Amino acid sequence: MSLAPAIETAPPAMPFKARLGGWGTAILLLSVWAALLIATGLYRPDFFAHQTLLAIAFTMAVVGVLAVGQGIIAISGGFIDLSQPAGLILSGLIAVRLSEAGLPLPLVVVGAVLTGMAWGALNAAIIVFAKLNPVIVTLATNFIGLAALYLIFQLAQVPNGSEIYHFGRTNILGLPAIWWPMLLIIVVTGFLMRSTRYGRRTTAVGGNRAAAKARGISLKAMRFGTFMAAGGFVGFAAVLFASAAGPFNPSSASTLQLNVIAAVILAGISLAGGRGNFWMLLLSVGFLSTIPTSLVFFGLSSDTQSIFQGVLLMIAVAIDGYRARRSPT
Amino acid sequence: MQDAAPVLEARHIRRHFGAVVALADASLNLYPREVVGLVGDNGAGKSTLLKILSGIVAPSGGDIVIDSKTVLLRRAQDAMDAGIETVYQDLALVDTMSAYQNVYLGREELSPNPVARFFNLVDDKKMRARAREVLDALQVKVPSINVAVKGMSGGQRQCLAIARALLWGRRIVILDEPTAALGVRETGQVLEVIRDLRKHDVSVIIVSHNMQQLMSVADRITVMRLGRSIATRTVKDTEVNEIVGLITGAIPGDSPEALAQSAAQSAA
Amino acid sequence: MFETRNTRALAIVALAVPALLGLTSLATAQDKFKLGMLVGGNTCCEWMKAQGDVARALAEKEGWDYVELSNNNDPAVALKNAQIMVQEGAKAVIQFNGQPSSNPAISAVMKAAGIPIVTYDIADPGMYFVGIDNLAAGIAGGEQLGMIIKDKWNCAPDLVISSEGAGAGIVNEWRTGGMRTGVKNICPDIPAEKFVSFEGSGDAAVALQPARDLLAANPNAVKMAVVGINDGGVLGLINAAEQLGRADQVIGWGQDGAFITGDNVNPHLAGSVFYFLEGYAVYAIRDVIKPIAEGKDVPLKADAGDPASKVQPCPVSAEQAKAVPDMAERVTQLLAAPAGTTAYDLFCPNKG
Ligand SMILES: Nc1ncnc2c1ncn2[C@@H]1O[C@H](COP(=O)(O)OP(=O)(O)OP(=O)(O)O)[C@@H](O)[C@H]1O
Ligand SMILES: [Mg+2]
Repeated sequence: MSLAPAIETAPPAMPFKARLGGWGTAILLLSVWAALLIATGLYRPDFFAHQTLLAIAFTMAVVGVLAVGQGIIAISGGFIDLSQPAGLILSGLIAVRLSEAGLPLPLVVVGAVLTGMAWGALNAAIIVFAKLNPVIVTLATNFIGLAALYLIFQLAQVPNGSEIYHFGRTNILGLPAIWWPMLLIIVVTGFLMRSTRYGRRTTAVGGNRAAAKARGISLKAMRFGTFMAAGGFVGFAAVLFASAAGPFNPSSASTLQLNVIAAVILAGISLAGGRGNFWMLLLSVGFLSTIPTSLVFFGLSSDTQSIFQGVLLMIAVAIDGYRARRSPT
Repeated sequence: MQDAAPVLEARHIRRHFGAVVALADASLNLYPREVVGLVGDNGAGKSTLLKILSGIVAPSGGDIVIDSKTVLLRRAQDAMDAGIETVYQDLALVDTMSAYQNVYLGREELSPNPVARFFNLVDDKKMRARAREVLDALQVKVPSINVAVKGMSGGQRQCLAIARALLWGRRIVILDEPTAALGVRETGQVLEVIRDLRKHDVSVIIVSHNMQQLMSVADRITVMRLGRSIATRTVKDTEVNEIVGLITGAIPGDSPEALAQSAAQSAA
Repeated sequence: MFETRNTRALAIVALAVPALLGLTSLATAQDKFKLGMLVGGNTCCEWMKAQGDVARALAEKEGWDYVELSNNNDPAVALKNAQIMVQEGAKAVIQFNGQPSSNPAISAVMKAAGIPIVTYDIADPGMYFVGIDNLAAGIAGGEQLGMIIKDKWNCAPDLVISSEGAGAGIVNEWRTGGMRTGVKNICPDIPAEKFVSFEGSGDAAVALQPARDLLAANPNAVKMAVVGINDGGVLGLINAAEQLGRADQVIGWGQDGAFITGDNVNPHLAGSVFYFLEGYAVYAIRDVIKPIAEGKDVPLKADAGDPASKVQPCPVSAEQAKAVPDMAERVTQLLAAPAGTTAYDLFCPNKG
């Protein structure tokens, strides 16, 4: 972590160093990740094994896709979407019902993604028309959504032996089948965010709402666009989640929330909006997903893991705050 | 500027916010390649008038005429489409984005390649090249067009925002206190860019509380008091004391007829 | 003349009838026994809802009034609910309080009001204990799994994995620990270091990731027995093993029977232990509430070891479980059976 100040204190007006500052996040993440891997490997040489790779990659899949959705909300100035658990469970329930009806996997995916987008649109509608703070709205919709879901079902599970069931348990090229879509989504979204008009405007709205509005960008349309896109990713994550989770209930996804937010912050996607590189999510999610596995190899119990994650989240928030304070706005 | 029809006329604009009358009756003419200064005491209604001309605030009454056609400016986009570019006091730029991205904000060029276009991809190469061209033409100096503008000086930021107007082929640029937060050297830089705009066929409306500055850059000055435009003077036929007198009320404003006359005179 | 008299008489009757009706109904309401039910209200488990449904149906059969409140899995709510029950004039109360920290306070409230209270599964000195002997249930399931370990692996497994649910406190120790004891009863020579644990929160989806990590950290284990606080926790490890391509290396035995019925039973879940949680009201009403309603004196038995009414655990193999109907159907059949018949009597294929 000591790398951060060294890179970040570079004079902002110097183009070369500023560009290095952008990649500073990558260098920092890669070094802490490598340090963790090496330390664990030294303690337990059998850490470097295919089983470990699989364990970490499976953990990455759902968190990674959710982090992309969370990142879109953050970069567009929506701070955080606290309703991801409810959106995930709702879309997951749809995925289960559709696969119970015998639909092929692609249609299950479409159904879940559309459900997630509808969930996002609902959030956006409340935020836009009631003119409320996105954090408060998503906090409320998550609470209400989970309570309502509990009235509909207590347990859901994709049918044993169904296409989606196998999807959650198969490997492709030595890595989980559900890991590859996550990789693709992060790489493609990272590219689109930096190179499309939509991506530019999303970033601009998060960076300075008033300036974006003055340039003729519709804030309402952007709000709907970002929440529906983010919801779509939650819907897709729900397919990955349902494929592997076995029986799940409305509260099963709540533990994911902290990890997802920590991943977004560690990746340098500012919660203040307007800044971030989605490719960094690959590193932050990879690093965060390695921690619990490493802890187990070190022989630490699962209770210490939650403490560890809490501490890490605090460090991440501190880094984010430090970055924000440094910008002379 | 002689004989030409005004590029922009604001006629008897009114606007109230609830019980507060921000504009009672404000009129303003702007001719091609002209810089008009707009002055008045705090709360005289200058910013409100500019916001109306930028489509940010809707007028309660009055007409806006551009190229002899009455227009309705309902949104910021309408004003931009009508060729009006507004540079705001503080909300011009997105700090986290680079200079060229800011210059193109809201009007990002799409790639010429149809496939890339389909995927909404932008043409960064072209935007960078054009941004560089325009900044050079206005002699605006920034460290790099590729780094976030948050580190740039106030003068550089104002110049970037002004350069935007030229880049998009605007004919009217509106500036609300563009030098309010700037040091002496930076102010000079911004005024230079404003003078340069004239060469590029752009007309300018500028609000400032600095009389010396206005006299050095403007062709005419319109004075506002309590929501009314009360007088317009040609810079070479007036002096600072007269303008200050008009602002404070020490010198009475012109009658409506005189106002019309003085507008006609300067046009003639 | 007659007419006026008639109308007056009519008016008197018209006024008197409802008044009399009201008085009688008031009298019956006062005579009527009122049962209060505080359901657990944790979103995890459908049986918490069913516990209320069965209690309601049985109370109606007895002709009692019935009030139900949900504890929302929150100790403070549970305490407030108890106070509401006092105001409601309940004559006896049943509760499932999954967050038992407020139990002493609830006991005090009930004692002050002179209302007897039955608690399911989690004991408190001031409450009639009705429920499973969790330790016995754990041991019973563990012994069944032990027999499989003996048969298949000659009592030499590489690991005996516990999927813990520490949030459930002592219940977790009874069930998960009891299962380990049961395994040891059959295979006493399994060395202590073969027993490993992970926190799975009793939720298959939540247990998945820690279970994967545990498997990865034990790459050489190929004969793994899994026990846990409930079926979900055990299933979490089985699903993780499926993801890591090691499903054939694990055999699980659960608790609570949540995932051992229906057509979606995982082939690596060898069995579970039914408590038929939905049907506890039969025990509570038969052995505590009804005698009280009839004016009998029921001694307060508050200890899980010497309960007011003991629910028998029912260990079942996956094969035997096929004969057991799912919960909705069990509730239907239970309510159709003669009063006092328990779910264990009706459905346990493996009666001890
Ligand atoms: N959105 C608004 N709501 C209510 N009143 C407003 C609003 N905008 C402006 N006003 C009022 O209208 C009047 C004119 O304000 P305006 O900002 O146009 O003045 P100004 O000439 O730009 O002053 P300054 O030199 O201080 O910038 C003021 O009394 C102001 O308080
Ligand atoms: Mg102003």
